Amino acid sequence: MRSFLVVVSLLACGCLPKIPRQRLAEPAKIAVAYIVDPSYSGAPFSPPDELKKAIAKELEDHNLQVVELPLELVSTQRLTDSRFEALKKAPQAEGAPYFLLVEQRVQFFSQIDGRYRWEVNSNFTAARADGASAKDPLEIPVILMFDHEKEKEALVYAAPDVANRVGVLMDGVLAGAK
Amino acid sequence: MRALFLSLFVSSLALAQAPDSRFSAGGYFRIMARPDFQGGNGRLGYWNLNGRLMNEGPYAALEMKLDLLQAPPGTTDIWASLHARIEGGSVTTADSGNGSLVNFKLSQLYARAGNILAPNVVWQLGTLQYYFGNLGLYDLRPAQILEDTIGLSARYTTSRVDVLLAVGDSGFAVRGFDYVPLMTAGGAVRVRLGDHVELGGGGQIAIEPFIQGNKNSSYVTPNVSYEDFVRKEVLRRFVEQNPQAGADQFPRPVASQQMNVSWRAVGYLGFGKLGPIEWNNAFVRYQRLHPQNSYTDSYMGRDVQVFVADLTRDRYALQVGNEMIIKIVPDRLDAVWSVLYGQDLDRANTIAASEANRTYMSTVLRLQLYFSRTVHWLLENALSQERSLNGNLFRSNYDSIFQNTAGVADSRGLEFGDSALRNSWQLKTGIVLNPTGFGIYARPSIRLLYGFQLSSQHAAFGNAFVEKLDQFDAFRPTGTISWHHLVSLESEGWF
Repeated sequence: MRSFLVVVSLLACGCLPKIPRQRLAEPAKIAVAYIVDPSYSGAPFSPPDELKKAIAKELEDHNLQVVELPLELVSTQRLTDSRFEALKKAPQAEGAPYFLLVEQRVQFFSQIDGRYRWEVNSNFTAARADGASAKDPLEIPVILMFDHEKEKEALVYAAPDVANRVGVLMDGVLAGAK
Repeated sequence: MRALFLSLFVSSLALAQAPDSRFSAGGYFRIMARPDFQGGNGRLGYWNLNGRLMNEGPYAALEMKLDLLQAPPGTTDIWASLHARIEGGSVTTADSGNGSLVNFKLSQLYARAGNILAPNVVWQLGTLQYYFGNLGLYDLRPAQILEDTIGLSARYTTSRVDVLLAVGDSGFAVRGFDYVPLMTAGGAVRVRLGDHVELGGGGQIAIEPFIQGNKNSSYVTPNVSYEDFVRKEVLRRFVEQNPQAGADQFPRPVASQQMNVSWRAVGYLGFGKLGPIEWNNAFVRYQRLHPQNSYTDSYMGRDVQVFVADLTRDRYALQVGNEMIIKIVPDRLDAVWSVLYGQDLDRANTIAASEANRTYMSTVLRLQLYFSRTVHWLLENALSQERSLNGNLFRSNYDSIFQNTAGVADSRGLEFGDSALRNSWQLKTGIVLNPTGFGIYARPSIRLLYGFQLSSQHAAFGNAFVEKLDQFDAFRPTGTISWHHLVSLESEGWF
């Protein structure tokens, strides 16, 4: 009997409620800002196009049309909340019902058995125009082959996982949208 | 002071941006099942000369990093982290070590800190291993320095130039229980010329100061011939020549007239992103090994310590390797081609065949065809030659135990076997599952492989076949084994 209950419990885990894939009936704009903060020193920069394209494709699958805002809009701010406020108030974002801020940081971990291990940390902040918002942090280890491969290569490597996580976040944001 | 102490253990308040975990861990593993029905130990050959694939055993490594002090990005605040790595070559029932922790070691332990005294400089205290890159097919790092050194390094990094300077002590790595301080200094420079070319060079030198009275220091036992040293018959010769002398009359060691010094120089050239050539790495290392200290010589129940610094100070090693990664048909067929050449020289040894006097060369070509993003087909071909520079070192046939130079048995000879040459050919092929997609070096990998080796040496793989005459009589081998076949189910990955 106990075994039966254990099996039933395990099977029930597979039935835990999940937010289904969301897709808007009508296309809508989403204002998106990207920023990669330097590891320790230097200036913020924009992630490589491969990562932006992966995220854009994910958003398009939700019937969201990306309006990308310039890096300078958020790079002058240091706080996430300030950056997000700047994003929402940007002229380019006017009329957009959805907002997404992608903040990232890439750090070298170590050389391990001939490979170069990096860590790509991401923080996503998304909101609807009605004020509902959500945040999601993510850390992805990246194994690169060569010393000349640095932050940008690590971001490209992590792009599929980052985009997938953005999709999951947007499922939640869109789920309650009217 | 208390504030500084506390700050080391409390992550600083990141003002914004992506979160950084204070603790993180990464590592590497490989594990395999390779039943060997030919009396071997589950590896195709003796070592990686024919490529690492099916020539290496299980391995596991775990590196941990703790951020002691996190700095907000874009600032010049001080940051610090602590790294520790545990690694070893035994995984539970995959090998004879049964996963015992005896086979593992704390191979790396260091603290890193930045934004101290100068911008763009990272200070490292502890282990100092540094290498320019990796020959992936061989799992070799010819252009490596400071892996034996404990000390302090400063690494200056810009987008175009990296400069590393280090000082420390490599005494424990070289001498172990017979420790003597080896003052070690080294450095490296790496220059990136655009996006297509990198150049690098570096080296290290270790100097052993003589310490009067320290038995681990560079003493030498006078009047020891090299042949007696090789045969471990120094005491026997002394007794034969001085039959009335006691053990206390064995020659006392004297300080060597030469200071013990070892060094190495390494070079690197990388280029790529040129058409189908994704990247090419070329490495070279030339080094002088550190002299040995002493050994215990025994004869008729008596033991003496023989000091051999002057007999072992002229040992050199050269290793040159190149590896090219080629995308022949994007997302359909990739190739990696490697070559390796090495020479080991012991100039004092002109009489005995050994791996200290040899040359070796090899080439390995691996092709990977992609049936789909995750299902691949692998084919690897390897050719190698090893040549002993001091006479025969290899047995060509199962009954070579009775032969030596010119087919004549010589139980007092300083050779081994009946050939100075070992030629080997290995071919490996099979199915690879790569969950992360295309790429010969994409990991993790799950592989089902078949491989064979054809060698000019009898049973050229780790085995339990007879090596001595008395074993020969007991076990009576009946034929020469030139071919070695293996099937391997294995997995490998970084995380």
